[in-house]
Amino acid sequence: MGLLLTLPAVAVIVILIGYPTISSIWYSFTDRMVGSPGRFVGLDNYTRLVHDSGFLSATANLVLIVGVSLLLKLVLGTVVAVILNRPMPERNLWRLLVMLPWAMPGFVAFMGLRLMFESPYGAINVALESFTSPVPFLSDPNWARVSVVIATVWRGFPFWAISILAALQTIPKELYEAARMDGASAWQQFTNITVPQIRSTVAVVAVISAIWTANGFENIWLMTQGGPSTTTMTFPVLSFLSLQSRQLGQAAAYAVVILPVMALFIMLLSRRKKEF
Amino acid sequence: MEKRSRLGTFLGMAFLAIVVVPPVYYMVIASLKPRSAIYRTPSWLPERSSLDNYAKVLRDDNFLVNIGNSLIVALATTLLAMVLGVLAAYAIARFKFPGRNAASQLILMSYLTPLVLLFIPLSVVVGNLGLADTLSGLVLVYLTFAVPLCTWLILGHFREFPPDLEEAASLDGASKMRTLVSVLLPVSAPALATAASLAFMMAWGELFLALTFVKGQGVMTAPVALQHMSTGDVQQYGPIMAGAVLSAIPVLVVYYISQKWVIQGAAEGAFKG
Repeated sequence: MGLLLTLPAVAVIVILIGYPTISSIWYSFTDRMVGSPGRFVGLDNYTRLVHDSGFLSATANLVLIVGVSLLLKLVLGTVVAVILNRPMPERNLWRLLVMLPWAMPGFVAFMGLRLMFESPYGAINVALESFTSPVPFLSDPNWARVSVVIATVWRGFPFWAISILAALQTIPKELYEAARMDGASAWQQFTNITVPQIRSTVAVVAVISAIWTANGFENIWLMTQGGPSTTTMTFPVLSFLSLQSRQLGQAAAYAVVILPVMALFIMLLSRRKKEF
Repeated sequence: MEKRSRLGTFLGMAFLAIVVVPPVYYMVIASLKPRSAIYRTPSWLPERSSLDNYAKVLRDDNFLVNIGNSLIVALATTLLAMVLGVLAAYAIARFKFPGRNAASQLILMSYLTPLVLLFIPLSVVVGNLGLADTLSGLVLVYLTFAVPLCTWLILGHFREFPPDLEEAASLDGASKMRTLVSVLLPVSAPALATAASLAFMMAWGELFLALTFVKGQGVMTAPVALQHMSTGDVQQYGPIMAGAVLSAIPVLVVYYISQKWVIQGAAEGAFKG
């Protein structure tokens, strides 16, 4: 009977997740197009990547966009969690507010942020009007990366904040009281008590967030579509663009090529959390 | 000391407000500006507000159809994923059967599987089923994230809940399914609410799969329709922001009603996007 009850869910997973995963890997070794099954071409779709500026850019952006975003989410998430962990009036209301960037639909968040970064009439340039000439936040290669990172962090930090807050609330108050009696400063309390106590939560959150950030699509698509040129390109966007030009094999190669990175993340995660 | 701590609290609240509020505020203001005024008189102040943009997006762009599509897709996805998730979680938590551990591993792995790895073959499968460009096709592909999410969250709570009550019920002669419905589900209401709210919120705002699977004007969900408007004329920002605000409302209502559970779910790592 147990088998029977799991069957529908397992069927969905096998048919809609397992089969497509394997198919993607297979497609990536073919020159399949929409409407033509294609033939086996070995590593052609992969060797082509070496000269592909989009691929090189997406690889660099695993560090420049994904890595930097994660680091900033950690910092901002921790700061916000520490603030929310203090006694403050209407704390629940503040918690609700802080979660807003995460709770609103992603496309709404990124469309709004896009409007902030527009040049010359976006909200930030309007605010800076009297100090500087318009900053090309989305059309200058370096600024475009900065803007995408800021938008990604804004959307993603509440998840970090709320997870870290949950960990902070499990730390026994007595630890801090004892430390205060010994004359430890606030910073010493943070590094000697808080950090070790939240470390394992942060590790799990980091891996999950790394997986989703590396596979993020709407942050890039709605802000820059990978541009200018290919400066803010990422693998999901490359894959999406290839499918739009009907090249299934190439699109699959872009999706499959970061699988080793994902596998590494998942291995890290399963080490951290034994039930995983 | 007391004074310092109050200053700290104040600074903390100011910091939170500065980080979160400006983009949200600007979005709302932009949606209320008279048409095209976002560029002509760019400003952070809500001078001359009007509902023109809302009228435009609802009347001229038929945006209610897209909102309706999003609603249908999100509700259908949530409902299906919840039924499948409850059954699978119940089986894994309460029955011994071959492959039980494998099933539980499979669910977690599939929850972590990136959508970008799935969408290409899925577009072929959905096409072969004759479901290309239909809401049913989109619901089908949304099950790829909703089923693992719901199953995983519900499973966590079923496992924590001691089986004593159910054993008592089955001694009284209740069938396994009856026990599930009348004993286990009522006590798991918070977990069910978490899973359902998160599935609804994710399905509502999903853009990546929607762009691939629904392309016709009549079947576009809200994010796809807005993305189409934004690739056209730049002057459309007002109506687009009005549409964005409108599409945020249902999700924020769900978020507000189920905040306790949703935030709990987020802290447990239920997160995609």
